[in-house]
Parts: sequence; C-alpha cells; structure tokens
Amino acid sequence: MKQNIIETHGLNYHFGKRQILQNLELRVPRGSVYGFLGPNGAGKSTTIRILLGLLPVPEGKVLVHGLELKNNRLDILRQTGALIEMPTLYRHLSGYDNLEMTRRMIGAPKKRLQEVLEITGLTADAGRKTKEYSLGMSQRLGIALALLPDPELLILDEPTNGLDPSGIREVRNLISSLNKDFGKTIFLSSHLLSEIEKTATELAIIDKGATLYQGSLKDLYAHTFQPAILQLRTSNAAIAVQILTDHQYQLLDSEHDKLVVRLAGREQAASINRLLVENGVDVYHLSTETQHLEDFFLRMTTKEPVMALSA
Amino acid sequence: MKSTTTYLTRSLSAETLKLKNTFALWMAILAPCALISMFFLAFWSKGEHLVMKSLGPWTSFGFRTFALYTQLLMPIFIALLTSMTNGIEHKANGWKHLYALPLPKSTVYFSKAALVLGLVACSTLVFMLAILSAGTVLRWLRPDLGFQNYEGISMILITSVKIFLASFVIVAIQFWLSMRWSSFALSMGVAIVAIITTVVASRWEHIHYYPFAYPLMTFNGYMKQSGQFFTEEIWRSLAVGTAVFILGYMDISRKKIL
Repeated sequence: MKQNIIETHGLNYHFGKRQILQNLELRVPRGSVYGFLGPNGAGKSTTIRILLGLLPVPEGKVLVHGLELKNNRLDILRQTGALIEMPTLYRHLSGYDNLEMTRRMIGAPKKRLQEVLEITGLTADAGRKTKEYSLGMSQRLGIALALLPDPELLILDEPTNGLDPSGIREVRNLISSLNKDFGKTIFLSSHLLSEIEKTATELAIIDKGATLYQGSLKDLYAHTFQPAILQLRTSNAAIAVQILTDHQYQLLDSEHDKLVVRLAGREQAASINRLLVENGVDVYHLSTETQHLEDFFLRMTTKEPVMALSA
Repeated sequence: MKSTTTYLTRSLSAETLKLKNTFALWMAILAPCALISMFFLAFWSKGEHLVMKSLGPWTSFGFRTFALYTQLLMPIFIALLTSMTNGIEHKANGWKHLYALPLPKSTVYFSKAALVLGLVACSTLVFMLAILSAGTVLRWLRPDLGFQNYEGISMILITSVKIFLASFVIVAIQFWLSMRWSSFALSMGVAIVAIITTVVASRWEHIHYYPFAYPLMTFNGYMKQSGQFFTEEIWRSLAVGTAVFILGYMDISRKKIL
C-alpha cells in the first residue's frame, strides 16, 4: 500500500500565458487531515480541479490513490468524495432528493442515504427543500454528498467559507470526526490559517502556485514558534538595561519602564527575572510573545523575512 | 468495469428525478394542451368559418394547429425546454459536481440529451392525444361540423410523429447551445431568428439545407397529403441532428470546468 494518497510531481499549470501552478510538489499522507493553505488566487482551486480531473494535465504528474490520474480518472473518482466551494444543490428539491440523485448516479446502496444524513446531522431536515437550508446546513449536505460513495479520500475546498462561527464549528467538528472515527483522509483547502490550525495534522502552504512549506503541523510549531521575545516592566529601567546588557542579553527596545529582550529559549525568561530581582529591581510585568502562525503565514506569503526562523 | 448501459441508466434515472418540481416537465405537457385548447375554443365558437369544405373537419383542425405549431411555437418550445433543463445545472453550478462523479463524461451529456428528447417526445404524445380528445368533444358540441367522420385522423397522427423527427436537429442545436452557454437569451434569440428566417425563406429553392425549416417542410407535406413517412426532411433532420449531437459532445467534453 502506498503511503501517500495524493502525490503531485513538478505539477505546472497555466491558463493562456498566466502561470497558475509552478512545480507543485504535494505529498498527502494516508489518514491525515491535510491542510492546503494559501491566500486567494494562490492556485488552490486550480489544484483541486486538477486532482478531480476537471482540468487536463499531462501524464505522470498527478497520482491519486497510487493511480496515475490521466488514465484512471473513473477509478480515482470512485474512491474520492469532493466538495468544491459551494456545494451543488438543486434548490427545488429536498435534501433527501439531492442525495438520492447523486446516489443513483454512482450506484451506492440505498441505506447509505440514512448513514450520511446521520453523520452530517441532517436526518431531521432531509425532507425540507434545500432552498430553506442555512449556509451551514447546505455545506453539511455538500459533505454528505461527498460521503455517499464512502470514499477513502475527501477533498474539501474552502468548506467553511462564508459560514458564521457556529457553522464553522459544526463543519470543523464534522471534519475531525470523519478523520478520527471514520478513518477518512481529508484534503482541506482554506485561506484561513486559523481554520487549518485547528483541524489539520499536515500542512502545505502555497503561494503563486509554488509550495512554501510542507510538513506536519507539529514540526512547524516546534521549529518556528519558540517564545522569541520577552517584554518587561520594571521599577528601574535604566538599571535593568545595564544589568541585562552586562549579561549579554540582546536588548531590542526600551521605552520608559518597558524593555523588550530577545530570548533563545523559555528558561531565559526565568533567568532574567531572577537576575533582576537579585539585583534589587522589581519586576511588575513579564510576558513572552510567541509569533503567531497567522503572522508567519502572512510574512511567508508576502515574502517578508520570517523573524522567528532567524531566532 | 461497469458497462455503458449501467452508467446511462443510472444517470438517466437521476436526471429524471432532477425534473421533479420544475416547470420544464409541466411545460412539456401543458404547451400542447394550451395550443389545442385554443383551437378547440375557436372551432367550438366559429367552427363554420374554420372548417374548409375541401379538407374536412379533422384535416382542417390539423392544418390550423400544425401551421401555428411548426412555424411559431415549436422553435420557441424547444428553446425553452432545452434551456430550462440545462438551466437547472447552470443554476445549481452543477457541472463541476457532475464531472467529478465517477461517470464517463459522455454519460452526463447523452443522458441529458435523451431526457430532452424524451420530453419533446412526451409532448408530441400529449399533442396527439389532445387533438383526438378535442375533435371527439367537438363531435358532441358541434355535430354540424362533421367531426363524427374520422377521416384524416391517421394522417394527423403520422404528421405529429414526423414533426417530432423533423425537429430532432433543432433539439440537437438548441441542446448544445444551452449546455455550452447558460444564457437563456441566446436560446430564445436563436429561436426567434429561426422563426423569422424560416418564414422569409420558405420559398427559397435551397430551403432543405436549412435545419430550422424541416418541421415546416413536414407541414407542407401534410398539406399535399402525401403518404410517405421518411421524406427528405426527416432523414436529413435525423442525420444532421445525430452529427450535431456528436460534435456538441466533442466540444463540451473538451471544455475546462472552472
């Protein structure tokens, strides 16, 4: 069994002269929730359309379920469920009929309808016309549609887009449960890092069609997000500055009673505190500032130097 | 491997469900009823002016309805029907969903085509039944018109089927247009241009190369009361229509889905 459920090899794509994807290398491990992150226009939707065979790509560039995409489109799609942006719902039909229609097309067993309705929590509303559905319900029905063939892989394109906070939570919980309880691999695209952060185990950050980061979310945290900066308020700033510089600490800023010091590790915060107190300076305020993933993402995609990486 | 028939049956049954609660289905039934009702009322109240002595009551009724149907209503009816059925997909932004299902692209296209043709066939059937009922009721309401003599009825039924076959090519063209572009105005515009050009060019010697004129040619054949079934415009319509359906598919299947 292949370990990666999706692989792209030097994937390029362009519309006319405009290059959309540049040598995109994706490795999506089986069983993961894979966050596919990038600002609007980064090429996320194009990538997803390629993975689903909606856009033509040359042979050998894309492997899904270990199969070459170009020659195995139907076999791949049979094991893949997808929700692309807004779900395709026929508004004049009930939720049940919408599911029934796709069920007929793919030839899934009839009992699967009740199962997916239950998983997505829509059993009670199945008889209502989908034009009466809230955005969150529509989105969950879209996921129910994607789940009909009981696929191993789910591809969800911006599934929380446009939802209110409770809708976002519903969808997020559903995604986590699909991964943990049903063992689905989930390829989840978003332009919101906060979304990916809460559900993903693996992460790729892309911009302008190229991969900027790919790996596990844990590694990203471990290497990038050490507490980097310490803010201090003391009874005597002048003496504090003197003490800290004497002990080779790198002072970034001092303003009135406030000091900003660069840290190499968490334990240095404690040492600085002890040092100051032992030298008769009272410490009123002591806080470490972690660089947020959001800042990191913004800097990365706007090509500013990433501060924490150099620390 | 699933066979093509399995895919087509599945897809067609899903497409049929899609028509539930839509106006397209009702229109296929109501449009011929409305047309026949109109002439029914006209014959009921002013039948003595409408029945032509030389033709007899049934053939006169057929003449009036076919004249209006082939020249004016049919092009509009087909445009409405195709743009409404494909409009369901455009409105739901459903193409991406359909093409990301494990179905061959040809299945998606040809099951929709079969559905539209089925609707036109269904409305042809309703048309035939409605004429029969209208004439039969007129027989009781206006015995003086002579509807009790069923002469000419088989010609009416044969011509209805022939008109359906002659419109095959129009369905093919409109089906492709409405699938390719979501614009309702485009389908209607083409239909209106077709109506005007057909009327203007009806006496042109090369009219048999103009697909939109085929139903009218069938109507002209009806006026001559020729008994031939596979007349020139019928096989032309079937041949060109089949070609348009296939070329349409080749065009649609290459389209990028965004």
